[in-house]
Amino acid sequence: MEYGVAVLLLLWLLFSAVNQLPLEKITSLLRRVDYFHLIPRWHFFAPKPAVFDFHFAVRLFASEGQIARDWKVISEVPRRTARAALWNPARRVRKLRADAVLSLLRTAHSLDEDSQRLAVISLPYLLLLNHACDRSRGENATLIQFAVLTADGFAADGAPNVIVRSEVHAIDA
Amino acid sequence: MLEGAFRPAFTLSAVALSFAVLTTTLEFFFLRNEFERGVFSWRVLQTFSLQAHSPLTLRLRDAMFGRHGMAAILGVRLLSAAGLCVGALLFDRVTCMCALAGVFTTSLLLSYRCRIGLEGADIMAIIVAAGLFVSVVRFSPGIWTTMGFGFIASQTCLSYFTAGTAKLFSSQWRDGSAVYKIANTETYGSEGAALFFRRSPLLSFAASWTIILFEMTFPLALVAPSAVALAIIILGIMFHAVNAAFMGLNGFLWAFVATYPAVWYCHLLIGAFLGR
Repeated sequence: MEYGVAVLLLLWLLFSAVNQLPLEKITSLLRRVDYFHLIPRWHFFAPKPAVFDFHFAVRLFASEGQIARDWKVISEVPRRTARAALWNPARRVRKLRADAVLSLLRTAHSLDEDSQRLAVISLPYLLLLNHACDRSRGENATLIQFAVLTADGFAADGAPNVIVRSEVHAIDA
Repeated sequence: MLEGAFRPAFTLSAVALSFAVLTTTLEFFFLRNEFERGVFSWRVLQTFSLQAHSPLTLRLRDAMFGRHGMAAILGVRLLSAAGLCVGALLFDRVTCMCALAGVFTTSLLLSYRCRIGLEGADIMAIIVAAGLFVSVVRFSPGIWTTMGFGFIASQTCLSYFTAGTAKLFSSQWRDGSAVYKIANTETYGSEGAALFFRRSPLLSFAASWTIILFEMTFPLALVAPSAVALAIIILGIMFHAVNAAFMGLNGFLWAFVATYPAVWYCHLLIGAFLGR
């Protein structure tokens, strides 16, 4: 039994090591079969560090072409307090939103120009759309559009950049 | 020597892991609305593999990851975390094994459900739970302890070395601007830290290289003299404490600190092997 467990742990370690290497074909295959996120990728803030903030904005329509509420940022980052060193659930939502945006950009990048519209049925797009609908619950609107912007943070030199602008969708009841 | 080292190493690691699991579970409870209809909504997340499952499996998944299923998973996880803490302090093997099995299984279920938005600390918690479970199959130093702690220590060294090497290949980390730029974001930084590093680019440069060198040399903790190994481990605890305090990365503190007893145990094991 010891040998069986040893082989399992060694395989786990081996796949983990391989997943750190710049071997896109192999690592994407590992990601596809890793349903339980057992194979880590330990590239914290590297090689491209997170040097900007993602902001998430939503616009609501009363009907087609008639704006009910113009663009409004719904992802303000509250000032972090000392408590965040022990208790910080908000980072989970921010992390998912950021991962969804990056995943959506990768998906869009992988599609050719004629297939770009398929990105709207991708998981990250649906997650962001659902997030926009959830945050706009109770508003008097029938259609919704979201956008993702990047900004430089505290010492921002320029205006925020729009990197994603969704199509207009019916709000889920 | 190893006989005496195993018990405190296991207890410290298990208690730190239980804190990590307790914190993440309570945070998930706090975000229950996000899980029901918000950004972690199962209704959306389940779409990643709808076609790959039979209707029966889909119904089972819905029951498991819907509102009540999630509450049950988090409840078991909470009990497992508490059980692990108590079991480790009392050094009760059966309690520890049951609790670790609970932590491992619920971690896998949460990983499967969430698909996206998980962090490195979540995977490290799974690794520590698996390693501790193996180490506790026999409650005395031997092959099982070596396999369990060796696995945790290897993954820890791999994580730091990879993170350091990836930073070494980044021009923004090499020229020192990365630390300032990260501190300047609202997500991970603070206005005070951003101002501090903007006014002192030399300190930003020094901080960048300190992080790169610390991460790349972390595996030396296994083979270096004990004083050096201890210094590396203390530096690691400080590193994660600073990240938790200034960047809000609280999950990493407990999950990574939970690996250090295994690193120390393997340091002693290698020392004994080398006749040090």
